[in-house]
Amino acid sequence: MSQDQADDILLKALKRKEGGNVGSSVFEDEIMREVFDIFKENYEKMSEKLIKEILDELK
Amino acid sequence: MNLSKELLAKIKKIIEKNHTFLTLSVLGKSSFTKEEIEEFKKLTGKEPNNEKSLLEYVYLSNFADNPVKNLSELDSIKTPRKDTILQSDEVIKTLIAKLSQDMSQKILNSLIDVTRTYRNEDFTEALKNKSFSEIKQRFKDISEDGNRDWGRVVATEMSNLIGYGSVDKILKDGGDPEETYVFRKIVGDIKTCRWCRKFYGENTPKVYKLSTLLANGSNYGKLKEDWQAVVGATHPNTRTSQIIEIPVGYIPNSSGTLTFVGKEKFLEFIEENLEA
Repeated sequence: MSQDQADDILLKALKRKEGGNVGSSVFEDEIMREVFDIFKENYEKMSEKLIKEILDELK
Repeated sequence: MNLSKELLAKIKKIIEKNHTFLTLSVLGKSSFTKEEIEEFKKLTGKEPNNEKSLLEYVYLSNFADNPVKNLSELDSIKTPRKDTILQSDEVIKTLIAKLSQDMSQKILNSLIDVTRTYRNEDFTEALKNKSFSEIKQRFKDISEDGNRDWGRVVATEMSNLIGYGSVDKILKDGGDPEETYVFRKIVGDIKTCRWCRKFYGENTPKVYKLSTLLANGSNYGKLKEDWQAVVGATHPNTRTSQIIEIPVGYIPNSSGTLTFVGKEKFLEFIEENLEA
C-alpha cells in the first residue's frame, strides 16, 4: 500500500459525518472493509510471489 | 528424487523473506526500531516504503473527531493510546511469524511427500512431469489456508482497535467511565455467535457502565466460559461495532439508533438494561 493510498483511506474516514460510522463493524463499514481488503491483498500478493519464487527454485 | 539440505534452506529463506515483507507492508516502518529495519534490509535486500501501520489507520478512523478538513489536522489528535496500537502491532508481528512457520512446515512436508511418491525418479525429472503441477496445486491450497488464517487475525485486530479507538474518543471528550453508559451493536445474522448475543443483547442492546467494560480487561487467552463483555475484540473473528455512548436523555432502539426520550425515560431504560 502506498502512502497516498493510506492517506486517502484515512481522509475518507475522517470526512465521515459526525456519528456516521457509529455502530459499524469491520465488515459493515465501507472504509474498514477497504482497509481489510488491503490487508488481504497484501497477503495474496506476498503469497503469490513466494510460491513463484519457490517454483522457480525447483525448476 | 533428492531434496538437498541446501534447497530446503533456500525455500525456508524465501518463505521467511516474503513474510517479513508482509509484516512491513501492513505495519509500516513506524512500528519497527532502526535495528529491526536494518535486519530486514539485510534479509530482504530492500527498504520498506510505507510509514504507518494499517492498524493505526483503523484506530484513528474510529477515534478521530469527524469531520476534519484535511490530514494536517491529524497532528493534533494523534494516538492518545499509542500503547494500544503497539500492542496490536506486536500481536500481528507474532502471528505473521507463526503463519510463516506454518507455511514453511506445510510446504516442506508437501515436498517431502512428493519425493516419497516419486522416490524412484530423479527429482529434476519428476518435476518435469505431473508432479510439478501437483506441487503447484498443493502450494496454492496451503496459501488459501494461510489466507483464511490471516483474514481471521486481521478481523480480530481491527475489531480490537475499533473498540479501543471509540472508547478513547469518549474519554478524550471528557467522559467519566463511572458515569458513562455504553452499548455495542452486533451484526445479528446467522453467523453471530451466542457469546456476542449474550453480552451485547439481541433485540434490546445491553447497557454497561464504561468502567465495567474497562475493568473486564481483555478476553485474550481466556477460556470461552470466562469471556466477558470487553472494550476490545470479544473473541477471534468478532464483528461487533464500536463502543457507543448513550447520552443522557437518549435510548437506543433495536437497530442501535439513539432516540431522544428525556431524562426520566433514559433513567428507566438504564435501570432495566444495565449489566453488572
